[in-house]
Amino acid sequence: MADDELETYRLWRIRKTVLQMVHDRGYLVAQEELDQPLETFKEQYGDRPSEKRPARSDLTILVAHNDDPADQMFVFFPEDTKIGIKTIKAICQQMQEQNISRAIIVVQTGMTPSAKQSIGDMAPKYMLEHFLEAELMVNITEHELVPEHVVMTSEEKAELLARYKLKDSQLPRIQQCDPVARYFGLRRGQVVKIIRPSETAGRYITYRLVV
Amino acid sequence: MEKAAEEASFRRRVLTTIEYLIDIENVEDLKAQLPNLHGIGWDEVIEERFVNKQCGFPSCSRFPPKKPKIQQFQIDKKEGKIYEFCKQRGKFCGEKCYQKSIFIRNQLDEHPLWITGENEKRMGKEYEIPLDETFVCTEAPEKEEELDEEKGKSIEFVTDSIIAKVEKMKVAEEYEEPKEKDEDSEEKESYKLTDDDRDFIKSIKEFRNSNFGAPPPQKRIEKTPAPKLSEKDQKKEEEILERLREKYGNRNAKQKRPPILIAAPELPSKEEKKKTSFSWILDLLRSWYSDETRKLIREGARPTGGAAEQILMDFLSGKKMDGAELNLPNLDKYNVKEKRLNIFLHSIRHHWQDLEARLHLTPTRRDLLNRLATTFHLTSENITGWSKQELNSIVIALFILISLVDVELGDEYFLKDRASPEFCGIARDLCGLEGDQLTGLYSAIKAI
Repeated sequence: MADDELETYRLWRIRKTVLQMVHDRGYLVAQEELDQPLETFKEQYGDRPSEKRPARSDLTILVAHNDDPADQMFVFFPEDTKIGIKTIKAICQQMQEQNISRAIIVVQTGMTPSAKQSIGDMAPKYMLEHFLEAELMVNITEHELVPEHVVMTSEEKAELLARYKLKDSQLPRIQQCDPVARYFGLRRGQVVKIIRPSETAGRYITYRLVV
Repeated sequence: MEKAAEEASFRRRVLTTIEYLIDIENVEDLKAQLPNLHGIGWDEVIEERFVNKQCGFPSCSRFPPKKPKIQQFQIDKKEGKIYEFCKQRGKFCGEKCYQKSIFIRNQLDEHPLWITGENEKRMGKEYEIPLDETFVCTEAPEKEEELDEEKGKSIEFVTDSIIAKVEKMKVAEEYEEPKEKDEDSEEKESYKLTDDDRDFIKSIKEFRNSNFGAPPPQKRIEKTPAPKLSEKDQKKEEEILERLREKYGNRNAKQKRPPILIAAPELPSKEEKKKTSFSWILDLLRSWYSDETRKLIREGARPTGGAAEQILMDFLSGKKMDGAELNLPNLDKYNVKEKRLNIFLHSIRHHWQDLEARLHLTPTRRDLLNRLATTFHLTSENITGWSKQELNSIVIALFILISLVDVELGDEYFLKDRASPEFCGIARDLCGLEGDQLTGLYSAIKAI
């Protein structure tokens, strides 16, 4: 069926972007998985999403960080088109059982306002981020108009501030809800280094503080 | 800081209330939670329950229809109305739960808890929970599906917000027959209430009376009649008016001026037209005429020896060479004289060919026109821009001119200054010139 074909393609694209995103955040993803073509995806998960092959729950990903293997992250694909508090609670329970504190939820159409609020309430303990499926159809950082963003570690940030004799509030800012900031899962207080090509200087580097 | 912490705690409380109401089973528990909620919070509860595949009304254990209606509108052909389906309605197991939900929502505070705080008005309010047994649901009567082709031309759009507020509706007693205010209402029959409609109105009235008390008595607004004046007063008034009229007079009448009329120029009568019919041709010919033209006409179209013979003759006669007459190379890109000649010949070409064809002239004679035209004094005004009728006349005049130059032609068509019958016929065809007119033109051209 054409619908199945389209849905499989969508799932493949979404999974690919999610893996790239997770990879860019410094989590361990096999190169094979990053380069997985649609055919292999179909072989691995099936090509009939309407018959739950693959079901969205099959796509759940668990990744570990490059530097600290204890730092793990889930990527959930809930079955419900719109998710409420209950789904969030279920996800939290699963994270609690596995002792994992970070997760990404890929939502089909949206979330109820209360669910968003409950994510915010759990923030320090469980870090949940949510993305719409439509947002993950393309990798925005690959767009030619999006310059290269490099997330700085806290040491690098301290060095930068010391070198220019700055307080962090004197840096230019970027919002936490900025699409690129969301892509990298930036937290308040982090600094991102933006390298953009410049006609006069070759390249121009700017730093932005996440607010 | 304290305030922020307080607000955060209130927000959390509202959230826990919503969470609690998702799984609630007892109606009594619901009552205790209501002070914490506001209108939008209530909507969130409904949404959350619906997402969990439960009926939107807390404590209801039934399920909403599995597939919510995708249909957005319902078209009532009989009444010519379109009803919008409420998305909210699909989140309940039935109409009763929906009405109950609205009933509760109307009692809730408009503002959220973190804005109002815990005030007495809010916390101490007695909320009424509609019970299944006592709650009267106003379900819309089922409509018969009937096709009525005459009606249904005008379609009214009824948004669901109107239907939802049915309990607030006031039934106007005077309006037995609702009148449509459409522009084309005159053409239609006035709407007559059917039995169904009467039942429906009756049920609404009953619902209103039973739930919200008797309707307030309708007040009829009467126009206060204009006070009648006594005879004396009327006379006084007329006097005042008379004075005012005298004072200000009929200003408007004075201001009116007769409209300015401009007489149109009189059209020349037909006779005058006829008289002047070829005078413009003569003017045109005069403007063309140059000494060379006169010379050509005088000497006839004998073959000349060309420019060399001319120079020799001029030399022999002891004539001085004049610089102006020499054909010097152009300073401009174009030879203006040649260009003008070309334009002139081009503009009369078709009509000339037509005339030639009619006269059965041999092509060898055509160059006569060229030779004649080269002698003309052509300016930008007299080379083109004539109408077809004018062109016909011009060609006739040119032919007369040529027959003056070429003796043979002159003998053939204008023997003893009289136009030949053949040429007369053609001239009549082309520009309506009669025989004697043609002869007149001939002699006039000859006299130029």
